[in-house]
Amino acid sequence: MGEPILKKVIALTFIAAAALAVSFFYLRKPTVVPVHVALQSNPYPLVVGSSRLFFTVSDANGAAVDVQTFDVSAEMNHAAMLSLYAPVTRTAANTFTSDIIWSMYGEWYVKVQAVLADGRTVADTFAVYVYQIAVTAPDYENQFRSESQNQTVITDPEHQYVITIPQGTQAMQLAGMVGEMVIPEEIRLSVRGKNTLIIQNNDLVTHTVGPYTIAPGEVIRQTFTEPNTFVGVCTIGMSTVSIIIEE
Amino acid sequence: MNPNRLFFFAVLLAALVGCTPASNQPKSVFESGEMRGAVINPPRQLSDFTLASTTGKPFKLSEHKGQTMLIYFGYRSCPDFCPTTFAELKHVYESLNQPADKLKILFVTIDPERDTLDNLGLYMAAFDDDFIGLRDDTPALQSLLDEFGVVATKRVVGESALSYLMDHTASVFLIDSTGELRMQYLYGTNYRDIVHDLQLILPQT
Repeated sequence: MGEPILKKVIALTFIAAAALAVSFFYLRKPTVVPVHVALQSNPYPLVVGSSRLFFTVSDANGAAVDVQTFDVSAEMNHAAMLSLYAPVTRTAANTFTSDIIWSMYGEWYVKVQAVLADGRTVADTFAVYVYQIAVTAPDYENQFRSESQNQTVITDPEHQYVITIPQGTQAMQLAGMVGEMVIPEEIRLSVRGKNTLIIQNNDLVTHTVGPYTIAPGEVIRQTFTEPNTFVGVCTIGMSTVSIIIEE
Repeated sequence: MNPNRLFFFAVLLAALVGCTPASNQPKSVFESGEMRGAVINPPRQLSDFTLASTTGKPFKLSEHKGQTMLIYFGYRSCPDFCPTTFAELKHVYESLNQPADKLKILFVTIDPERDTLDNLGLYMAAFDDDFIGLRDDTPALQSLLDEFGVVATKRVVGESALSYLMDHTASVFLIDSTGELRMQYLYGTNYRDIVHDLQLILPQT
């Protein structure tokens, strides 16, 4: 008498567990995978004159995402400049090209907006630098980082002090142009507040910021646990940078 | 209940559990957020440099895979940064009590003009017999300094027996067991912070 009941209990337990697993797996709310736009160019880096931009829309896992419409605009980072005409050609369900003639060297913003097949809209901005004459990029490059991609280094804004060195920083210095980004002569952190310094180098050359030397494409990240002061030169501002960590 | 049915349900349940999304892979210790030195990401690839060594055998980076290395660029006549740093590294080494084949402490001279292998060997032995002095008096030294982002410039000082000093980057760099540059410790970092990081890194190597 006891054995059949035990078997039934075991069987029902398995069925209930299986049903639970099935319902969890198939009936859960669909996960929305983030979508991003990647930008490459020819030539890379960009130079005054003709260029072709290549856009790829994919999800966070690298899978292609179908796009309904895709728009591109390019404008300089200062006022009184007209936006450039950026005609878009579709080359696949998720890839596009745009031929742009850069009229002036300096910092530009390439703005993209994609309406996806599922109705979602993805918008992003790439701060690109257009060089006056062609320069050579490190071998691994030919990929611009968008504003949203740059933000991925920030995981805890309350405790992180982030410096991003944009592409073209050295070129702007050589051209005598003052870039938008200026490294402060004093970086003040505190053990109990902003205790993590992150420096991301998106430029094509190595930069020294205070005591750190950061190669192209690298991110330096340091969390401080006690007060201290570190001083070093800065190749961007051509001055010294002090990193002061307070209690 | 038929045992075959029981088996069927068990397999079904196992398959369903197996279908659930896998959890994220554990982060490497360098990405854990627990490090106290400056983490370099992505790790910097280094050329396979070879330097003359106080051990008597040339030191080739690729022959030391599997070992964690702390490397410093300085000079024997340095009146301040270098001896201070190596006194700290002596504390690090003693605190960890690791076998010499697991953790290497390296000193690359930026003043090969004055630092011979013999006197580098004596200098290293003054701190610890396991510490290794490295030397290169060819232009390859500058390439190596560039890879690490180390600046070293000669500064003539008149009225001095030294005749010149070397102004230089005084950071300690960590090369991981795969031969990649992973960490930078600024001059003035408490040696306990380096010990803390190595206690996390070394068990993984």
